[in-house]
Amino acid sequence: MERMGSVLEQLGATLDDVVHTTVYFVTSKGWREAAQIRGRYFKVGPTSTGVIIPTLAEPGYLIQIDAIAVVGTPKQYVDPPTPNVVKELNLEVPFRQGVKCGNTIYTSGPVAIGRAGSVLHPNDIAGQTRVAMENLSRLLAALGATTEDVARKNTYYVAVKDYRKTVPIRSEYFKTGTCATGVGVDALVVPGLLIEMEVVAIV
Amino acid sequence: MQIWRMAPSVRWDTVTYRRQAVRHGDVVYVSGQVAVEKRPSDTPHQTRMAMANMKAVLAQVGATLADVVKTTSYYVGLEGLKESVAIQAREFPGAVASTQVVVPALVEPRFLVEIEAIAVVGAQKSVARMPGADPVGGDAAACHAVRCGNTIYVAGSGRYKREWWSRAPRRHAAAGGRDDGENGERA
Repeated sequence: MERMGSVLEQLGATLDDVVHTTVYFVTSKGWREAAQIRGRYFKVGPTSTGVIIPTLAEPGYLIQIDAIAVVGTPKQYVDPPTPNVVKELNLEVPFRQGVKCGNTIYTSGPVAIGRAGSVLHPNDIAGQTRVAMENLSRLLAALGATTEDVARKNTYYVAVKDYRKTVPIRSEYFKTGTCATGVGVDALVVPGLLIEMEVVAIV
Repeated sequence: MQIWRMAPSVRWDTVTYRRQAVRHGDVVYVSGQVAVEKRPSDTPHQTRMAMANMKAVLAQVGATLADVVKTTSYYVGLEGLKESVAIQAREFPGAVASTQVVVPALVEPRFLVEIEAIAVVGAQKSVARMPGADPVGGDAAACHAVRCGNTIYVAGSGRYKREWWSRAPRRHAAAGGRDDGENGERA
C-alpha cells in the first residue's frame, strides 16, 4: 500500500483517487487482516476483488495489488442492499460495491454470498452464477447501467473445468458482447464460493 | 461517444458473446489472449502466439501495441514465466504497467498463459516507478504505473527485485531495432 501511494504520488494522484483494486493472495490466511490494513489507507472506496492463487511470480511474496485510479473526476459510489462480503463479514472497511466515474463504472466482484457470510448454492456453480449475475444487475442498475453496458469482465473460477456450466446463464446478460478473461483460482476469500466476476461498464 | 465492439472472431465467441476487443473513445479493452492451437507447447511459445493475436486484435480496433498501458498475464505455473515477461517486454514499444499472476488453471488445460490488456489509443503516457526497484532503463514492462489523461493504471506491487529485471533485454528504442536474439534475455 505504501508503494502504491508512492507511485500514485509520482503521477499526481493519491490513494483517494483509487476506484478499483484487484488483490491476489497467496494464502487465505490473513486476508481479513490484510483487508483491514488496506482499508485504513482509504477514506471512501475503492471497489475491490480478492482471489487466492498458488504463488506470485516471485516466490515468497504473499500479496499483490493491482489498482486503477481516476484523478479529478467526481466518483459516485453505491452499495445495493444485496448481501456482500464486506457487509456480511462485518469487515469494517471502506470498500464499496460499485463506482461510477465519468461514464465508466467499476465494480467489486459480486458473489453468491448470503446473510452472515453463508454461501448460497454450495457446490453448485450454476446456482452461484445466477446469484452473482442478479447481484451484478442490481449493482449496475444502481448506477444507471445494465449488464449490456459491460465492456470487460474478469471471471475467477474455483473449479475452472466447470466454467462451461456458467456460459448459458451469463450469456443471457451479455448479448451486446463484452471482452472477457477467465482464469482458475485456488479459492475466493469466503470458502465455498465458486465464482466471482468483476466488470467495467461504460454508459 | 460510440462503443465499438469487435465482431466475434472464433466460433466459441459466438456462443458466449465474447468479443476480443471493445473500444470506447480512445480506451480499448482486450480480452485475455491465448495460443489457440491443438498441439502441446510451452509458455514462451504460447506467449509469442498470444502477443501476435493481441497485435491483430488491436489492429482491428485501430490500436497498436504502443497504445497498451496495462497488461495482466496469467500463468499456469512458474515455468517459462520470466522468459514470457522478457518476450512481452520486447514486443511492447512503450511503457506498460504489467502484472503477473500464477493460477492453478486456465479455461482449457492446454493453455499455459493468457494475456489481457487495456490500451489508450494515441496515449500520452506518464510513467511511475517504484522506489527500491530499479527496472532496466526505458524498458517496456518495467514500469509500475502509467497515467493517461485522468486515469492511472497501477501494476501489482510487491514483486520487483533488482536481479529480476536486470535479465530483461535491452533495446535500442530510438533505432527501433534490437540488440538481442531470440534468447537474448538470458545474456
